[in-house]
Amino acid sequence: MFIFSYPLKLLAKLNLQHLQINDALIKELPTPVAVTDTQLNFIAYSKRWLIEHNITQGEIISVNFFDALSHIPFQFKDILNNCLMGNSCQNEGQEFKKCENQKIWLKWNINPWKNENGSIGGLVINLENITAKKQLQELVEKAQEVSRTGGWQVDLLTYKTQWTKMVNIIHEMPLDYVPQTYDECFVHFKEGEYRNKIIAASNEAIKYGTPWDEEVIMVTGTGKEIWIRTKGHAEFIDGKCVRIFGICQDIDKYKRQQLAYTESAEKLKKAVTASKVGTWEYYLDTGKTVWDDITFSLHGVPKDNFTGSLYRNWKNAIHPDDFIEIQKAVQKYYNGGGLGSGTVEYRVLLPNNQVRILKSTVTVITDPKSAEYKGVGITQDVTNEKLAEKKLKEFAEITGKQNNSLTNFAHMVSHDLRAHSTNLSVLTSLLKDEKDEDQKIQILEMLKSATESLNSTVYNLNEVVQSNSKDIRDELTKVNVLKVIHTVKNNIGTLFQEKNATCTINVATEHNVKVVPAYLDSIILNLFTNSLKYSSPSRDPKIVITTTIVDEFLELTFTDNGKGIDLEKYGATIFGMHKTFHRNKDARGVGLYITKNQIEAMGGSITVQSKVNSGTSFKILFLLN
Amino acid sequence: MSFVDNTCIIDDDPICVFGLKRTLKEADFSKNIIAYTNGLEAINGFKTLLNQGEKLPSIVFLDINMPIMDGWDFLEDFVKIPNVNRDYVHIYILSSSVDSRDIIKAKEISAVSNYFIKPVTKLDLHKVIAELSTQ
Repeated sequence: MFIFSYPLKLLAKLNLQHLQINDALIKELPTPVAVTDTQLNFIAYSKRWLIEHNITQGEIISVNFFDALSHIPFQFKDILNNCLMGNSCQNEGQEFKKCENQKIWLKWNINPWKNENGSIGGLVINLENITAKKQLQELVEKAQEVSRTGGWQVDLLTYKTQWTKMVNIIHEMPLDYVPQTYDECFVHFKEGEYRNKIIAASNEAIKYGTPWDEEVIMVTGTGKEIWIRTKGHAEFIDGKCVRIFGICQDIDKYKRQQLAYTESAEKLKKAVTASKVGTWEYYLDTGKTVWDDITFSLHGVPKDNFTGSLYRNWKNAIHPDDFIEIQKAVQKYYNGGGLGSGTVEYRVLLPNNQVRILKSTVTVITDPKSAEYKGVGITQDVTNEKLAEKKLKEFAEITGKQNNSLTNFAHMVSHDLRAHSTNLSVLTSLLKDEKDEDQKIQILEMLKSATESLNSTVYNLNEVVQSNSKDIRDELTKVNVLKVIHTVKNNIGTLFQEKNATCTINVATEHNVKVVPAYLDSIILNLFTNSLKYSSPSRDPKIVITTTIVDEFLELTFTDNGKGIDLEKYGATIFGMHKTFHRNKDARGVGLYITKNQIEAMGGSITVQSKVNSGTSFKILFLLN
Repeated sequence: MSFVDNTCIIDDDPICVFGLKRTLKEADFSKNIIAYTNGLEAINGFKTLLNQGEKLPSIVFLDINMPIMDGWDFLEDFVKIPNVNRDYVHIYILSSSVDSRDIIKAKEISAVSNYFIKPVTKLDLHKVIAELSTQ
């Protein structure tokens, strides 16, 4: 609490009169100034003083310096006391510690004033609180340090250059260094591209006032090359450039990271492009779809010229036969909850009607905890692999078939040929020792039949080899089925008569097929002789032959009323070479095997239906002409 | 004196039957020889013999590949004949086949005594005689 008393105020007025200074004049001074007596009580002060020191209580005449200015640390009293001894004191800025966490910056100019008698009457104090200013300056310096940014300017009238401390630090030059000539400003930029660029930029600025902002390499005082960002502006007076100024920022670390990133991103892009792996994203809530270039090209969708949503384009690209499957599969991952993933394969129909097989690995993120609610994936072209796989399978199938047929063949050779050779050797050894002429004749008869059988077997083996060894599809010629049936039937007319057989032929005259004529003869002959051979002993053989057209085939049905075949027992091996399911006297067991081989070689097929003691029916498909 | 009274050959190949008959005679193997051309004929023949109160042949040479009823099917039906009537019947399989699968299959059937690859020689018959004599 201050005590204001008239006598004290009056005293102050008196002192002022001593100083011959107008009280009102001091009030209006534009600086924070105050006059005190030797006791440091205020005699006069400017309005600025009150504002500067944030004094709000009003009148402070006769109030003590430290009572009115409570924010001024007590150490300041030493300075004031020193001045009261008759010394002037000036400071551009000094820091005082008020307490643990509080600092104050003060700037002052203090002079003692003297009475008429020459004794010191008090002090004239000019005191500024520059804390805020200082803090701001500190902040700027700190910011420069943190951002590694410095400022510079060149006065174009004097060609005097100024650098802030940070510019020297960035340049790794002594702190007191400053370029001495205009040209010296540019020697720090790396010779060639970068130096030329900045010289050109500053010339432009001086001429037209165009500012620049460039990232260039400079060489530091220690010879290191670093990336900096340099910005420059020009100042014009009366149409003449008087000053260029700007900043210099050390961006080496960031720039190198950026360059490294750009390089690796470029590499990655190249790698991804080379691997032909497309990446994509599909946002489940918004339907937003993101494709990379490869995904576009894999699906045959033009990147810069497509209409509608990408999802729709994707859907349209997929082969119609595959879409439902894909949708189901993706739905499954989607319904999996959380993180569903898997692989789908689908065909796309390219604009040129080519089919491409794609394999896509999908991950669907539907976890409610995740901010991402989308499907992501990579897509690859696996057409070649798939085609190769298919070829391999076909090849394996052919190999398997051939292996099977070779096994059959080996079995046939081992069994049938062996049977004949055994017989021949037995008969010849018997003949050698036989004395009885009648017996000899009988053995010779048997020998004749054995050699005929051997001959027939060898002939059949040859047929098997023939039908298996070459692709005869190109040798197919047009043959009339009805004609062939009649010819074959006439050739075995005697057998027909012997068996008292009848035959009904329901074949249209215009039915022509694409076959090897000799094969068709052999097939028809085989069917006839089979039916007659295995006819039922209890009834006369009846054969019915009919034809119908099924797609690109002619279906020939050959039905008899013979003994029939127990298909449950022999079904699996009926067309096999080694199974002689009815071995009549002249049956060789390979007839049906050869028939089947010949039919298949010509692109057809054969199936059988039969019932024991009721009859057999073969259905054969031949390619229509 | 013959080694056995009755021998049966089941084979559709007349030359084989002829050859085997000659070999059996030369070895004086059997007093009587019956031949059937397939399994069914043989089964029927056996049934007739049993009905007439006669014994079954003690040795049977059985071919595998035959029409109507092959050797395997014959064996299936044969084992259904009551034990007392077939216990003393020894069956030898004959085949032109050197296929190991056939040999293995034959050996798995308990009613089969042995497996011969055609032609059956005198040496084979001596083996049979030796085997049966030691029993």
